[in-house]
Amino acid sequence: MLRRLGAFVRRSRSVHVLGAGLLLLVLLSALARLAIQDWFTWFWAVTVIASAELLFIAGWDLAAQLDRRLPPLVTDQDEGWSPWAHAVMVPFFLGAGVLVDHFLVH
Amino acid sequence: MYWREVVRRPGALVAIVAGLGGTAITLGVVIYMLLHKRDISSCAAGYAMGPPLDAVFVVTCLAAFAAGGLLSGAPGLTRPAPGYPTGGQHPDARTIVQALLVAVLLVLTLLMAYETWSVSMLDDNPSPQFWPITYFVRCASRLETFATLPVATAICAFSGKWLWYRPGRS
Repeated sequence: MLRRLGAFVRRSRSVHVLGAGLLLLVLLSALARLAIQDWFTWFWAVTVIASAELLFIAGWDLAAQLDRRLPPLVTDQDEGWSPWAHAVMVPFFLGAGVLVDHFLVH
Repeated sequence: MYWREVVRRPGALVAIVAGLGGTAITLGVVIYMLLHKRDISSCAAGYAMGPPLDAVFVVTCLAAFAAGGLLSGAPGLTRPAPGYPTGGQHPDARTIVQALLVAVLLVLTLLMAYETWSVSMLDDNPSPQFWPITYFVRCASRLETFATLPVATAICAFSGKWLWYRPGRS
């Protein structure tokens, strides 16, 4: 099970992009926390960072559609994600966002 | 006819009814608010509604998100009905959709940046010239609590339909 998961993580470009995006988000959020003392303002700054990352990825993939020499970051090919992983991801992040926003930030 | 073909597509009826309904409701709210101006001085502090109504909103919105996501798998409603001819997406259409995604994300990023800037300004000036966007939402929920609920519910239902990707649905 763990070996299959490891092999999947190594070969899936989507997982690499997701991991790199989350790592960059953590690093930039930590840097922003040094400059922004207020938790509420910092929370919104993190949303700007996350939104800018998504914008970069979408912009890159648009460029990849126009210029076939560029590799797309998020493909429309089936990369073997478990259907359960797909189905759980959005509710998980939505629930986490609601809980953090409602109980920690406010 | 091109439009006749568009209307026959899966989900087109839902999109048209929801789009026209949303436009009508929005226009109605705008006209109502123009005719019944309210005192918004209590909104300056930016307080949202308190318990237990905030929990009602959270639970209702989560339920609407789930309903929107689950309904998007209904055959014939927003998915191709049995027997509907399916084909690959045209490359030009894919590029247009991707460009629209970039445009939407650009607008969202700019709105988030404005929100962050306007929230950060509140420390220096509690009654700023430029309010955070969330303060308008909080103000609406304070003044018209039960009119805000169906709007929030509709937004969450559409979010569930569009964002909750669940492959393998029949």
